[in-house]
Amino acid sequence: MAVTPIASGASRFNPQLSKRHQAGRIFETVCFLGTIAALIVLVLLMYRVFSEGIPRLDRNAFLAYPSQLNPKEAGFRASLIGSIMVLVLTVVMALPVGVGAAIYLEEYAPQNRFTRLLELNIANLAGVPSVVYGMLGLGLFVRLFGLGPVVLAGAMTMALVILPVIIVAARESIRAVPQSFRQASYGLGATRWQTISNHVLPYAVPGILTGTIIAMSRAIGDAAPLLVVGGLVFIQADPGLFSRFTVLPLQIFFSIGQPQAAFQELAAAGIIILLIVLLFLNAAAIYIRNRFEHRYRS
Amino acid sequence: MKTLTTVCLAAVLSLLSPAAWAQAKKVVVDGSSTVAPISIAVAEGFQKSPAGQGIQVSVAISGTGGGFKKFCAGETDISDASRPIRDSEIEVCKKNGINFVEIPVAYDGLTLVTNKANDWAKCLTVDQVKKVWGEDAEGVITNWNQIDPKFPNLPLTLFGAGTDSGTFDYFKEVVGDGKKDVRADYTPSEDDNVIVTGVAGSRSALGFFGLAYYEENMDKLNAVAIDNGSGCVVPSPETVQNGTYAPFSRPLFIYVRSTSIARPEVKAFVEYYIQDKGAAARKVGYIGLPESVYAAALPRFRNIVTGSVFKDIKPGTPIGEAFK
Amino acid sequence: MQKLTLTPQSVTEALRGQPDLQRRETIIQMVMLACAIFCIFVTAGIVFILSEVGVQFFTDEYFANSGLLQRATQNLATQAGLSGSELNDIIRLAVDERPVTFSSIAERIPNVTPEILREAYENLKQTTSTGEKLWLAFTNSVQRFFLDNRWTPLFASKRFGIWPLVNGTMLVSAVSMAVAIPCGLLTAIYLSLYASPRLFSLLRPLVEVLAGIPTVVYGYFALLYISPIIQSIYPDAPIFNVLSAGLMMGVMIIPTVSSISIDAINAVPRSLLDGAYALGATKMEVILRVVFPAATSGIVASIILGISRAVGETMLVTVAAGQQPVSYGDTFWSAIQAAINPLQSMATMTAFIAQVALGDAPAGSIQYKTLYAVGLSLFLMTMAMNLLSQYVSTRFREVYE
Repeated sequence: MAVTPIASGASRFNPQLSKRHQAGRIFETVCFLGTIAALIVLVLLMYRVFSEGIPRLDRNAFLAYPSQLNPKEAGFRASLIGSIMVLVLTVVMALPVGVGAAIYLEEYAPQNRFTRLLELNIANLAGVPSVVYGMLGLGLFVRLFGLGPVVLAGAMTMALVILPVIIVAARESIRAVPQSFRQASYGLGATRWQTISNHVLPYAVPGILTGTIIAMSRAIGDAAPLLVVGGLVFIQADPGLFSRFTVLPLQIFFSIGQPQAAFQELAAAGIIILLIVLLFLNAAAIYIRNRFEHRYRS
Repeated sequence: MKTLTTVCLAAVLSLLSPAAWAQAKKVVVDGSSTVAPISIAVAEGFQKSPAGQGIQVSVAISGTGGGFKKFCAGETDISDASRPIRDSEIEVCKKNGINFVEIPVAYDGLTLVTNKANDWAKCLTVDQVKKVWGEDAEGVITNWNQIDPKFPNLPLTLFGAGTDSGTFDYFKEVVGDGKKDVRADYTPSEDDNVIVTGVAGSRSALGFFGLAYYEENMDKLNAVAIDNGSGCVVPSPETVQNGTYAPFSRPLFIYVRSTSIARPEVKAFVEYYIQDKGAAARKVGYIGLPESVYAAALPRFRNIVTGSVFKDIKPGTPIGEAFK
Repeated sequence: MQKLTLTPQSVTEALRGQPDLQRRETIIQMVMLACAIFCIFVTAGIVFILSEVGVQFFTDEYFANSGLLQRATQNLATQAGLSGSELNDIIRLAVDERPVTFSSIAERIPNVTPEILREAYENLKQTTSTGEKLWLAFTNSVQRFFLDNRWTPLFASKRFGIWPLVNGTMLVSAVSMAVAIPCGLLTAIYLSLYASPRLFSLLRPLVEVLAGIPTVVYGYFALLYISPIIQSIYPDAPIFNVLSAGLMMGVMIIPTVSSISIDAINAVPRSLLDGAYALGATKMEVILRVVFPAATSGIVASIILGISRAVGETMLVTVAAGQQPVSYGDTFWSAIQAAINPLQSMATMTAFIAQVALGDAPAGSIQYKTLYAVGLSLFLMTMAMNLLSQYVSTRFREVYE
């Protein structure tokens, strides 16, 4: 695209368009490479895991209980159910509290020192290592509340772990809602809560769901806190709300450390199962996110 | 939105399935990650046997120390331990009114391994092992030919168990005579499979771990025979069991809470454990004790003889002597 | 936040005639406030749990005895006429109650046998008050924790200097952020601004899957695949090293940075971009000079979250970075070299916590208490980092709004 100088003085200005466009193309390539880099690692990782795990991914891997004597016929049933139970309970507990806190901080909180304290506190919690949450969960839920190392205690611990992540993501997405939405709603005579629940929240749902997806991925893959709470357990029964439990990453961790080669294959199969569960959950969340995005933003 | 909420609610409610409220008879085991595979294998066999019908055995892994903490707090029935209970732990148990029966269940053969291409270090004396691994060797003994001038001039690369494991503890007892330490400049690893990779990948490497890991990787590694004064003894299930592979055969234990023994499910499980005579242990890579030990353990258990015999026993003592 | 022209207060005013609605609004506000305050309780809980045993570490009898032994040594040595730097060297030997410690100290003092030293030491133990012992314990432990440069609490000769662990944590985090920030941001920019909607909806979930892979898997991948590659380039590199752990951790954190950044970028009003295009800017210029600054708060939030994740990650570093705390050698220069060299094994604070939690240490022993001392330090460290980043990001935010 040529630019004609509109006055003699403007001839000193050289738009250098071709140079700038070239820089832009290089930039685009760099961005693309940056994206691909991460995905290449993912592909390599998946290739290795799948090549070892797929042959082992039979009916048993899903439906059989763990076994030390018979790793070739063992499976992840107990830990799979445990993982799903813990995950669902975690999200059910953490999401309302997290979104509630985010709403308070963005919509209701006045700009004073108390609010600053709350914000700093939450930012700090996001940085606490998950092991420390495990120690808190052990002392508080398992011992003080007397629950013992059961599914409910584990879920409450993981809820604490992902709570800050949800709050941070929810705050960002609520903050992104244009003021004009709120203005229009108030202008029509809506109350504060009506504005939030009918206009702000639906617009913010996609962002909140992003945070939830990341949080769920974290909750299902993070073995450390549940390790401390007492989740590295061998059981041959389906866990219930108040029974001892184990989760997939911990059983994989245990399996990998065993000397027999059959356990290595079993571990690879377990990783695939974990990813399947994760993909399922992510797909559900993405579906919901897309529906809201479609309806409220275009 | 409404259908979504209903579906979610239904999913959550379905999780509170009848299994949650089922009250099976339970035996709670916790402790060492070394002993856990044995307890798990025994639990599997037990739950399939007629004596174990309707009984749920759960085996958790919190480490030997963590296991004892829960044991002395009354949270578990049985504690897996890769070392005898310590005086400080017995204190805590006593404070909480917990008495226990100590039962040795299997041997773990600590094996020193070298790379497949290592054809010079086929046998080492116990003194040589102490010389290489003791704390005085740190920064000093860095070459194979310092162990024995006949060995080639190759730098030593050392791998071993993590410092917080029972394996390390036992190794330290042997190498340091209970007074001194192991050198700090080796590559520690909690996962013994990594030690396998490390030693297999380096010609000049030397490592130690349990016999199970050597048996699974005999194509990649050589085991070093140990000379304890009466000739070179190669580690194998036989030499460990008959006590000739010393002092690196370490006994593994379970500790049973005396009040739990009143519960029939616990009694049945422990009796099954002892009467299994190390068969399950062998299947998972450990070695059974001499039959006389199991024969001695059973009446001790039945008569609920409490207290620890092994806590003051020096490593390398033949187990038959300690446990009569 | 901007001031609304129609304020919620004025809206609430309008509700004055409707007490039910007013009450409902107030209840809802209270519920939201409760959610926010809940977080303060969580922090309080963490601080309590960590301090309960953490304080026990710093006031442990082990350190009191160490202090008393130092005193006994000092008394005997000054009596024997020693002073100055030699005196200090001898006092520094007095760390624990092992026989080898007694004999090595007694060797250095003329006319003193280990038995004499032990008698003096036991004497002091009897005669010193509990209060004084507590103070001794505190000073001794703090001094060793912050001024020593080796971390060997699980060995017989215990050294409690925290810096090797802090160094490990910082270096691994630095390496991982060096990977995660560029890749995460480039990914975010490409996906939200260059990619077609179809490509976007395909690639974004894939990137998010990276966040879900159990970190244990990343650790083993680093150990089994990345480490050998590094070893082929640098043959001296050990099997456990910070570089491979850091690289994999960076990959693990990319989704955290990119996902939240994508949302931040998407939230930039279309009008801003259109205006920039209208002024003749190329796409790259629009991105770098308009979108980026406008999305800064979200991007910074994602990076801070990423750093927090890096510092707090446990399983990956336990598996891939090893459990050998870095040792600094004797000279200043060797210390610097050791501190920033990623081609060595470096235990991190979180790896140590995991090691002790799963390990053999009897509960109540000094080794066990180090777990809480390290946990407490980690918590305080992340808190300091967060406060700093909050300060920095508020400064940032003011410039653009």
